[in-house]
Amino acid sequence: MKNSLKLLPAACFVVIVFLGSMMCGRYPIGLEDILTFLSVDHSVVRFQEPAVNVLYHIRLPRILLALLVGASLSMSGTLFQGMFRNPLVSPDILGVTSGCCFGAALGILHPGTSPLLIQLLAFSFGILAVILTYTIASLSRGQRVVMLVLAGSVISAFFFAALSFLKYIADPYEQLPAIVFWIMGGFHRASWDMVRTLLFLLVPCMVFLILTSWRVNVLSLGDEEAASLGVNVKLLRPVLIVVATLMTSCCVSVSGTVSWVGLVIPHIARLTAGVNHDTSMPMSMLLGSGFILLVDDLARTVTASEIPISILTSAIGAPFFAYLLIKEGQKSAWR
Amino acid sequence: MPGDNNGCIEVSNLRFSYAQDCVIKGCSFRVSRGVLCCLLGRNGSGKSTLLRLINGTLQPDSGQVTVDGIDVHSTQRAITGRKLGFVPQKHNHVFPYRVLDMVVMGRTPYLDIFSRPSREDYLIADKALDVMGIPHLRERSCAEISGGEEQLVLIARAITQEATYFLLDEPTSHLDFANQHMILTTIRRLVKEQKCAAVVAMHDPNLSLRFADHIVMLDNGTIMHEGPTDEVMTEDNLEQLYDIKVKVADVGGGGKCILPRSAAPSL
Repeated sequence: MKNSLKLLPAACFVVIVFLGSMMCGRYPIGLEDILTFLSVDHSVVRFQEPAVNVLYHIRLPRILLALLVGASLSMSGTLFQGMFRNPLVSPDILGVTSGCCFGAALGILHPGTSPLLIQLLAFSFGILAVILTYTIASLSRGQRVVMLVLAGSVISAFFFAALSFLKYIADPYEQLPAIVFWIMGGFHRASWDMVRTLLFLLVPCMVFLILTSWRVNVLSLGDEEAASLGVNVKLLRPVLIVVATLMTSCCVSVSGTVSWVGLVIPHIARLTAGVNHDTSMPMSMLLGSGFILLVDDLARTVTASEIPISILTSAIGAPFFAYLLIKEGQKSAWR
Repeated sequence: MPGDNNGCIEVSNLRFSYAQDCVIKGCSFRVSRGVLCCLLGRNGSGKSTLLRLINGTLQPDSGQVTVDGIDVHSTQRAITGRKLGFVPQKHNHVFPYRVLDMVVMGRTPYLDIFSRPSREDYLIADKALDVMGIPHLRERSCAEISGGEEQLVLIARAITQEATYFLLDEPTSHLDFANQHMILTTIRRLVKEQKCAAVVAMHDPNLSLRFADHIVMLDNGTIMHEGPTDEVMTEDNLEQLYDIKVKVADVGGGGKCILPRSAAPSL
């Protein structure tokens, strides 16, 4: 009960940003119109009206995509920081992002390039990167958690080298800018098809992470204590890694890299909702989705052309985090 | 299972090696309920390893450990977690959980993967805090409490597991003189009142002499001497174990004290 109260302001924040996001943009739409639009039965909506058209076909899918990506990355970040007992960990740690970027670049260079091919290759290479990381860690005899993090940085370095090579051989007038722009990320590719696929894939993962979040507390005590407390670490950790990898890979393959979210939001969630993953996990979901939506609103409205999302997430996230570290440092979750 | 296996931890012919290095070379002993057993040995003699083998968090090369007749290494963790309560030496927990949240994690073996502790589970945790005499720490953060209080919290967690067998890895090593005695008194009271058993890895022979019912002396992965405290804690055995000259002095009132025989260093 007390915990749900902590989440209430964050939920209100998301709803307000959601309504604000539907209002803002090149075509001005008032709050009243939006509330009628949301309350009306969609089967009878007349799509001729330009306002409804803009809302339904352009703004809504993009808003939903931003919410989904923000929530997924933040939740994976919270899970990984807890599971790997490390405050510097983000969802990229096992090499997903670098694998996705390499896959996307491969798709852009492919003669038969198409948005779908780019997404599929990005997604597949993201998954492949984590499989490689996990294999390397399994082959070594060292401490499992440390080995996973180290193997992840090995795989990341490898895929970034491969990506650099692709950039080097890419056509500098068409392909290279496309690769660079893709990697910097954004939600301009949003469509209802994409949102439907992502809803189908990501919502079950999110539900799973919320349901298992209490157990992440036990896992965060370290392998030995978790096993002593009756957790089958050898089963639970791979399952959670698969879920988080699936989520991150889905997100990065549709929106490119969205830096800082998976690192910073879990910290902010912990500072506001406490260290217990039972509350910090749903808090990450709310704060992450609201934050990314807010930043995406800026990305599409501040200038005439679109600003890549990762530039804004870093530019806003980094100073805000620095402020939190200084102001809230004394009650920090990491001491 | 045969009835004589019930109500005890039975370690039989246990062998274990890290890579090529043989650390435990065939250990067998038994600890029954109501007994406080201390593992003594020099650094690197294999005390902690043996404790982890009993706990089932290390897999032996051969031999077996049974608890109430259940083979620890071929049984699900959720089952052994209801029997064995492991108390680590010094926890280096990254997240400063609330004390009550830390203690209620002892309920994990009774919960399935998707559930979280219920009201009853929190009541059991509260009761464990009462048993340990630390209900006032309930709402504190684990980062703010002292080393001795931390040990008490971890023992409370093992009580919340409703474990019958407690495995403690050097529970006194970071504590001051008073807290060392307080912790071991508490463990002994627990063992006697609740008919539990405890296997405690220890460095201090004096504390072992005072609190243990049973002593296992471990040397380089083999059991050197084993038996009731009075019989095993002799000058000869201690000298053999620690490789220094030892005197067991009578301090009156039935109390004994183990001292090195060499003269105290002059200033």
